[in-house]
Amino acid sequence: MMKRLITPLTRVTLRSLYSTAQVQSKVVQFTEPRAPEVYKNSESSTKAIYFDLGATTPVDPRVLDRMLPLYTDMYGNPHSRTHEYGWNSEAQVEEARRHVADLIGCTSKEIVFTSGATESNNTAIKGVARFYKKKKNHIITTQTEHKCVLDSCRHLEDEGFTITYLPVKQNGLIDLDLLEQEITDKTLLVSVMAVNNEIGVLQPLKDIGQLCRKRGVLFHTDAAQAVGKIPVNVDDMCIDLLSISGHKLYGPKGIGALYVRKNKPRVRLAPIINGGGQEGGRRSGTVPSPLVVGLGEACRVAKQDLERDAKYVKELSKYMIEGFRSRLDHVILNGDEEQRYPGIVNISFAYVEGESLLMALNTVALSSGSACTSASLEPSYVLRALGVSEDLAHTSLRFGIGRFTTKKEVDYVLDKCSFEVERLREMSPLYEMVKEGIDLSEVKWEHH
Amino acid sequence: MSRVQGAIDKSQVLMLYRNLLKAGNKFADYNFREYAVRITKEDFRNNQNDTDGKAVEKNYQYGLDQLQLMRRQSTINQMYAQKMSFMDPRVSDDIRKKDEMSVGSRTNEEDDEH
Repeated sequence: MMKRLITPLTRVTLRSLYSTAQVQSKVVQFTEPRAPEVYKNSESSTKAIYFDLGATTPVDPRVLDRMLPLYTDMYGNPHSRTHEYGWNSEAQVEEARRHVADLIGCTSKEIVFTSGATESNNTAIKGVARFYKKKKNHIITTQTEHKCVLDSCRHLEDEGFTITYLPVKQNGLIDLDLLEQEITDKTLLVSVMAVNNEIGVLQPLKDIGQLCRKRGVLFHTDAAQAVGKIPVNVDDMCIDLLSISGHKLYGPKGIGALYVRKNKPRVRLAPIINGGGQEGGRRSGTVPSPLVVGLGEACRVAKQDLERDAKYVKELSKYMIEGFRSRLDHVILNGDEEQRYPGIVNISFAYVEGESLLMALNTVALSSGSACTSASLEPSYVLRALGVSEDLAHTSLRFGIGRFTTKKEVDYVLDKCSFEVERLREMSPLYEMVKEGIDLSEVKWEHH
Repeated sequence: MSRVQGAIDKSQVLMLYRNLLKAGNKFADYNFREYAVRITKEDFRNNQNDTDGKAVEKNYQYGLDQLQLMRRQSTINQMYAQKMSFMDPRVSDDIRKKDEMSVGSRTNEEDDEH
């Protein structure tokens, strides 16, 4: 590459050309412009069909279009007060803040930009807990939360807080009566995620919010997988704190937001990142203006297209689930059938080992659960919390459907996946026993 | 950016429609391309019976802005494209078969990824 660049250049200079334009045209003739290579040790010549939208979504071209000027032209620090670079960046950041606020129905002052949903969740849970620790010390959450919520709670246990990890019903939803029983005078916060990242079930936010409001408990929801995909309104749903992630709604990675209610009740929190006092002292550090603008545009587009996207995703999701059910037997959809965000489809293909199926589906980008735990071979703790047996939990795949998914892709994955499941089942002695009518749960296995 | 002035006639709308489809088809990425074409068709179909001059003017201006955006973004998309999607109709059946056979380069290293 370097050699190819240098040779033509020297040749061109030797010929004593008249203008730089001519030099450039000569260089272009000899070297094709090549973007930096991003594929390492790749053996396939095409990219796999992307069905892992629960892990991350591609950046929408409309989002990138708004971000680029902040990288190439308007690079000012939004906190600079002495020149136009700063003023412009600040204006862009504030416009983005309005778009985020509009999407969830709050005011811009209630939005704090963070590095992502993990930081938002940490700030919400630890921040609130530490601010109010002298008055109350009990927090309720669920067993199926994202790791960052569970881990934040574990750390708070070390600081002397009592945490209740609510079990979920078989359909993945929480039991409201149980939640009400667990609330005590000491309960400070209830944290329940909106849409589960692994199984896609949608918790009854409004009911939880109203219950919390009635009992004088703050309600936090991790809405990383919900915002921009299903309608969310913090006032209707009585939400006091809400976490947003940029890269789950076609925005950039490394940016998120936390909604903190300002009125009735006013929520206070002790910041976990201290410094220059940006974001009203709630999150110090220079606000990354290009990323914030990206998140803002992603929220604007999401609000504008919410209906269109929701309808499209719902249709494809229904088509996919029905497709699997008509092609294969022993297919189980994990989580509630109705109370869900249809863009996350978690299916167990009984008698097939999930990892083998993933290996066979090398032309489809998929995962068996959340990206955070995909390195381990442990079955998903979310599925285990639903009461899914260990062997079935091992056979589950998570399909993500979004605005860029096409029907042709779903058709392909239906055919290919069904073919591979049948092929793997043919090799499975368990499946053979099932076909012969043996009830596997009654088989006594010999231990070695 | 140019602002629309006066009434918009049918030929202008048709021209915009054609140009939008053309720009959308220039995305190197299969998914962006399909999306651009899908929503362009949907938007024009939904608004085809609009008779309100103001609304037509507003939508026409929106379409012009989207056209500029799609031209910029499809160019950038082409500049950085490295591999076509497996689903891309431009991929030949031979290559598809080959890729289905390849084991992939999944690394099975045990790491403490979170």
